[in-house]
Formats: sequence, structure tokens, C-alpha cells
Amino acid sequence: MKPLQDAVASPPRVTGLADISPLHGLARRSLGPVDALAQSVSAMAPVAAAVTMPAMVTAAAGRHAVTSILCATVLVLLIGYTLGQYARRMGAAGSLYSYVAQALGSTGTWRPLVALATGCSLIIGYACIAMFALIGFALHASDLIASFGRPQFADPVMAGVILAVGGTCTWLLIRGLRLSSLAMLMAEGAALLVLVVPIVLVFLAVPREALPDVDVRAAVPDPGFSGLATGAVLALMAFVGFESATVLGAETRRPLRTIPRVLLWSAAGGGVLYVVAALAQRVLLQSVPPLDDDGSQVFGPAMRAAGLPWLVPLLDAGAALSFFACTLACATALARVLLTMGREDVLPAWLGHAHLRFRTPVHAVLAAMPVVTVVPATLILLGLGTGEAMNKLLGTAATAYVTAYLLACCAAPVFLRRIGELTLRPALAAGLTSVALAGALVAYRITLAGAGRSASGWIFCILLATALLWFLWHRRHRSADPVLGLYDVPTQDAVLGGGRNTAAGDAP
Amino acid sequence: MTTDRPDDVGLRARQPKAVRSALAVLEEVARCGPGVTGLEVSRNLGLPKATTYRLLNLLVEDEYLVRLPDLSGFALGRKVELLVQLSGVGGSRPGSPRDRI
Repeated sequence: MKPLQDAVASPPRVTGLADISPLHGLARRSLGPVDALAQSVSAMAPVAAAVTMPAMVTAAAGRHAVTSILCATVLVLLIGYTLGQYARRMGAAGSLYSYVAQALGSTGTWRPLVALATGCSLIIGYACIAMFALIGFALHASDLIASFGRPQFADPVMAGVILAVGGTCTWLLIRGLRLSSLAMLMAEGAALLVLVVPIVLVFLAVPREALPDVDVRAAVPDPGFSGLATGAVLALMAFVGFESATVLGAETRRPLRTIPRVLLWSAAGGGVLYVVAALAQRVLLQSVPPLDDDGSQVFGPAMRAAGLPWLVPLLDAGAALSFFACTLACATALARVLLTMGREDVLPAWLGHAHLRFRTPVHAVLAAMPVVTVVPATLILLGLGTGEAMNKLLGTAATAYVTAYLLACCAAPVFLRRIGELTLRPALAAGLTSVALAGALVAYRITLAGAGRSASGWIFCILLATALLWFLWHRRHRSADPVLGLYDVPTQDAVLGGGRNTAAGDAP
Repeated sequence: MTTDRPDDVGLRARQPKAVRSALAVLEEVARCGPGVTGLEVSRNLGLPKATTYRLLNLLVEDEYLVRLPDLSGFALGRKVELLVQLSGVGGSRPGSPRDRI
């Protein structure tokens, strides 16, 4: 202990640390692990995914559906482990964007471009899922009201609901992180409880012998390996959003400890939920003839046929709550990536401002939420139809997320080497994950193209290319290149012997 | 690290090896001064690199160590003060023990 006692008695001077954090103004060190977990889980929209994904996976993988979901879970755990290499070393608000920027640095042309591609992919992903969730909320609210005998919402009413919910989320996001986090936690918690009830009932009410190893959809006679792989890719899309706790790197207490754990917990929890949901659906479908649509509403009719009609409005309520939490979570993440870019001067600096009293990224929220709200409302009013709109948004978002994961996992060994901490296990994990993700991205786009749904891929490519071109053009007119990779760098008062006067709100 | 010196805080041979290795890492950062890298600590202590990096990360997560802005150098965190005070050696300075850590 002698060296430690000496260091405490006369602390060495540490140079290079600032007095305030680059992410000052946010509610630093205010959230616990449960809030961080709520953020990651909510952004996955797990209830909606649990209800719709198993049917799609079964359509592709037949009796290998559960195996597919397990494979996807393993891949997501690997992604979480790889992202954890960053998250345990730096607390950022820019999530994977800041990670890749730190890995590659800001010099040259292509390095910042790759980081920006990651950032733009995240922005596109979070924005599209937020829009998707708003439409989903309106849809399930409409179904819920309809189950009490009222008519379904007309298009203008749907648009109105979207605007109202968007406005509510905006208010919550500005008013305070603890408030929006609590709202997210309660909504998602209630939704998950609501989902558990029908699943438990299904397992209890249906006799044991109804669990044969039957190819319930019979859409693919022998799914084979390609069917299993396609199913795994589709299942992977149900996990996207699990990384979003990484935007809370400045606002979580002990982020370097909490966030890596939250990544793994949300991956594992999602896996368990989806496997159980898939098993429940398999049991349920014994009592119903196979449907010939894409199966996305299979729980509803199946439950009516099984004699439990009151479960349907309950599930609608749960899905609506889950979508509400998802909108909050994705908007939280989106605002923080925008704030980071604003503070780096990549985007206009006013985006980087935080509310003085509420300590939230108010300008980023006010910039993003109108777009996130008006676009889906307009699509509905234009008569696009909720299913069509949701498909396009989901396809664009899933492509965007997987691109961001791919870039971050490829950059992980570069990051570790740059800081001199590259070892075999994380390098292997990153390499394996990158290969799997590249394959998954290609397989996903091919699967969608096969169903005639390539539009979302084009939408993503056009948006990304536009953003990158804008950045390149903007660079020529700058005096100095922006420095990317802003994160919650430790301040003087975090080190031994640093500043003695810490304000309560910014304590290390 | 197995002999008890007069200013040893009472860690005996029964402690799990990892805890003693973690404290060795902490002491090495104290000895080398701020800015020491994981590789240097690993070499000085003769520990495997992966083990050293893992221990350094644990200490950073629990804020006994702080990563410097270049992400490769380390410095002692304020929490070390608490550790030394709890050990009963090193003495306390007036007004400091109740600092929020």
C-alpha cells in the first residue's frame, strides 16, 4: 500500500484534463442500471417484436425457428461483447458514432467519413424506428378502441394520434431525463407484464401433448441451412436497438461498468423472450389452421380461435405501451447523437445546446421530433397505409442499424490497437461478428428483394449518400476540420488530487 | 507480495489471487505516475497482457483508476483516497473523508 499512501499524501499533477466535461450541461451521473436497461430494451420494441417476429421466422425456417432465434441471440451477444470493448473504456453520448470516430481518428478523408457513415446510419435507424413506433401506437390504439365496438380510426384521426403522442414524447424528453426514463420504464414494464399473461396462459391452458415437432407453416418443406440462416437474419432484426444504452454514457452512474452489462442483459433477455414467444406461438397454432398472409397478426386470430378473445385487446394495449416506450427510447438516442455532432461542429452548434434547468438536449429534440412526428402523419394522410409505411420504415431502419453495427465491429480491433490493448479474444469476437453481420446484411437485403421490397434499401443508400456528400462539400468551406469522437472525458476532479470543489450535479 | 510488511493493510495469503493482482496493478500505476499504459504495467509486473488489461478495466469501471483522454494512459482516481483511509493507514486530512466519491 506504500505507493498508494505516498500518492494520496502528495498527489501527482495530471496534465491534459479539463475542468469541465465536453458533455457538460447534460444530467451527468443521474441514471442507474435499471434506467439504462429500460432504454436498451424499449428501443428494441420487444413486445411488438415478440408478437410479430416468430411468425416471420417460422415462415422462413419452419421447424428450425427456435434454432434460428437462438443463433440470432448468440450473434447479438457477440455484438454486445464487441461494443462492450468500447463501452467499458469510454462513456459517450454519440454511441457507435463516437466509438468509430475514436477508433479511426479524424485525420484524412475516409476516416471521418466512415465515422460519419456510422453516425448517419444511427440517426436514420433511430429516426425510422421512432416513426415506425408512432404508427404502431396509433394502429394498436385503433384496434383497442375497435375491440370495444367503436369503428377503427380514420386516417385523419390516426394522424392526429401520431401528432399527439409525438408532442407528448417531445415534452417528456425536454422536461427531464429522469422523467422520460421513468415513463419509458413504466410503459415497457407494463407492456412486458401484459405480454407475459397470454404466454403463460397458452402454456398452462394447452395440454402437453400439443407440443410436437411440427412444421406449422409448411411454407418451406425442408428449410435446410439457408432457411435457418434466413430465419436467423429476420430474428436479428428484432434485436436492433439493444445498443441504445450506449447513448447514456455521460448520464449513467458508473457508465463503464453499467453499460457493457446492459448490452449483454438486453441481448440475453430479448433472446429468452423471443424463444418463449416462438414456443407459445407454436403451441397456439395447433388449434388454428395456417393463415395465408405474412403471419404478422397470427396471435390475434389464434387467440380468438383458442377461446381467449379478451386477450386480444390486452395485447393491443401492451403493444401500444411498448411502442410508446420505443418512441421515447429512439428519440432519446437520436437527440444525443445529434447533440454530439453539434458539439463537434459537424452539425450546427446550436444542436449541441442543453437546457439550462432540465439538462436535456432540448435543441436536438426540437429539431428531430417534428420530423419524426410529421413524416409518418403525412404518410398516413397521403393514404400510404399503415402496413406499407411500417414495412418501409422497418426495412430502412434495420439496414441502417446493421450497417452501424458492422462498421463499429470492424473498427473495434483498430480501436484496441490504437490504445495499445489489443488481445486475442476481443479481436476474434470482433472479426467473427463482422463477418456474420456482413453476411446478415446481404442476406437481409436479398430476402427483402425476393419479396419485392427493395425500396427501403434504396431509401437508406440515398439518405446516407446525401449526408456524406453534404459533409464532404461542407468541409471544403471550413477553416478547420472538426475533431470527431467527443465523449465524456474525465475531468480534473475525477483524479486523485484534482479539484477539491465538486458541484453536486457534476460529481465524478 | 506474500510477506507481510509493517505497513501492509492486512491482506493475507487467503485472499483470492485476482484481488491481490488488482491491488498490485493499482500500486504499479501509483508507482509509475499518471500516463502509464497497460502494456507498461503488464511488463513491470510480469502479468499476462490480457489479465492486466482486464484488471485495469475493472479498476477504471469502479473508478479507482481514470483513463486519460488518449484512452491509453491511466491515473489514480479520487476513490483511492477512500481506499487508503479505510485501510486505516495514511491518515485523513481535515474535512476530506466525507467527500462524495
